[in-house]
Amino acid sequence: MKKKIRLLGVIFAIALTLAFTSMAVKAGEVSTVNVTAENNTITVSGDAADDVAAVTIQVYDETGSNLLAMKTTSVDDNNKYSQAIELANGTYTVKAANYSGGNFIVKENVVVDSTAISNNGTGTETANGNNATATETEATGNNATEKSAAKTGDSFTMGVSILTLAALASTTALVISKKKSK
Amino acid sequence: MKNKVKVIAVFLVVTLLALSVTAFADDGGAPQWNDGAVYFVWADGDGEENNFYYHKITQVVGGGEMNYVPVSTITYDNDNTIKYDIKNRTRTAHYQNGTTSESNSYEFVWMSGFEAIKDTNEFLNLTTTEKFEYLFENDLTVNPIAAINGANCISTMGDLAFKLTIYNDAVGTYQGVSIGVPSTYEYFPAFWDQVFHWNVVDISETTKENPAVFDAFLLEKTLRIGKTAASRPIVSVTPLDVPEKAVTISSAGDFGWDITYNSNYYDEVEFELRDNAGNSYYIVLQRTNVKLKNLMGDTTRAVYAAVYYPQNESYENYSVFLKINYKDGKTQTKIISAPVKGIEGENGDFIDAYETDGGENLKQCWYKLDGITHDRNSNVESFYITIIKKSATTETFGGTLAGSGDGIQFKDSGKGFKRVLGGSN
Repeated sequence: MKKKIRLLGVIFAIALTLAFTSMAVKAGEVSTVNVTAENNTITVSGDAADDVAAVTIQVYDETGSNLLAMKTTSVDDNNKYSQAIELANGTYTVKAANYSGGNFIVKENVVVDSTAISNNGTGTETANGNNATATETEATGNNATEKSAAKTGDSFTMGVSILTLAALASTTALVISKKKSK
Repeated sequence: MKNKVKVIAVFLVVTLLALSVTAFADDGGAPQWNDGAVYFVWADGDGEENNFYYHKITQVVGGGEMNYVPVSTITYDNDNTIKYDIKNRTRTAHYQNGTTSESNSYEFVWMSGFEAIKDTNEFLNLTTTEKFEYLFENDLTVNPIAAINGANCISTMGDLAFKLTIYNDAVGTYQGVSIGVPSTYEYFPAFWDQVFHWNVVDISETTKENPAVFDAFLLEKTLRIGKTAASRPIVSVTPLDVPEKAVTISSAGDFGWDITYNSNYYDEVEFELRDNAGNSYYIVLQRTNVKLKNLMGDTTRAVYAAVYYPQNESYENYSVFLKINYKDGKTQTKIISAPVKGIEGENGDFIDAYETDGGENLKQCWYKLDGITHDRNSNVESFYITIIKKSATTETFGGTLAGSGDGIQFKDSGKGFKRVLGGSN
């Protein structure tokens, strides 16, 4: 019986390790990008890996092909970055990446509308081959509501899946051991 | 026969003398560095009643080695009770704007030329103001090119013949640091002279709000900072207002401290330096790999940016992102994706290529900053440059080579555009 309990513990520990490893931010990459807009200023913020010292933020037109604005900013000791950028009214695509180069994290359909009373930003986010977990904002008129989104195939989902598998494996092992002990 | 030999010898001597005089005249007629000594001349006050003094500084070593001279030794050669007051000075401004300021002026003066005239009636009968004018007009003053002075020192590049610093040797006044690299420079850009690159800074009397500023080359990842002669040891170096991951500081023992940059983004970091007496000093290391060239053509005054990058890279890898602020408040952004060829290089040579040698392990290329001129009619107030590497795909970013915030900021100084400290964000 003791051996089985040990086995269960080992399986659980491996599952936890796998889950946290897969949830960790990919080295050298920016992991999330959030955009809020107020009047003619957007604030771009997010998280980056521990080894990212600075972030480059690029603002493209709606098609995502014409670079209109660019700023670089530091990453603080909590691995977070934030940078305000002034823009004219319009719809933009915002991209963020490690200052030294890497995958872009993209926020599309960012609307800047200075005529609105309050606009906390609109947009949909696409991650390019990274392990992002992200906060996605949706606007209802001018009053933004915010929700968390786990992206399909991202590490968060993978982590949960691994944990679920581990739990199933543990339960199965427990049931088998109980049956055998009977 | 002997007479003929004598005549020939005299003829040869005269000819040689004539040739040397001609060569001297061809060189601009100015006495040059040849004698291991230089004069320091100064005026002691304002108006017509000020006095003219001079001191001969001897045993000056030529070349790239810095000569340190304590100010307490700078006394009038004809009366050693008259001392030079380094804290009460201005500089004659012939070179900068064509005007002359004679109050508390000082100059370094070539020895042989000055000794030939200093006791003549022609010179002695001049007023102090006229004496300074005379020295300048007769090319006896040492060109102060690239000299960097501080609160407690006067430094001269000696017209590239020697380096000399007169420092305040009163206790607790002068504090100098030298900034270099731990061993040898990996990169040494062409805009620095191999021999006369100036790496000494007076940091005395600096504050967090008014720090000393030193230009370093961006791509050199690790810089070493240490005390100079006649200064106290630096016991700590602390980066200010940047995340911990921005730079790594490590002790280099008696040589000082090594500062390793973890990203090219950190191109204007301020550091607090403390000496072993508990005094704090402040310095900004301003790193750059971009130099502007304000061209003075007949019809246009175009502005070009020289970008320096590793020798194993190509100009085809880079683009310039340019943000322009106009005087009417408008802004404009541009991408300059290709450099130009056919402009004048560092030494006045014509470069018929898109890239050329940029110094040790470096290449350089030139981007014409379209829309920016440095004439009176220019509507450009300032502009920012960011150098980016071209991306391999739309989903990946190639990387930023240089620039922080909006980029490296340049402002119209009235004599062309110049980099602005702290203007990047």
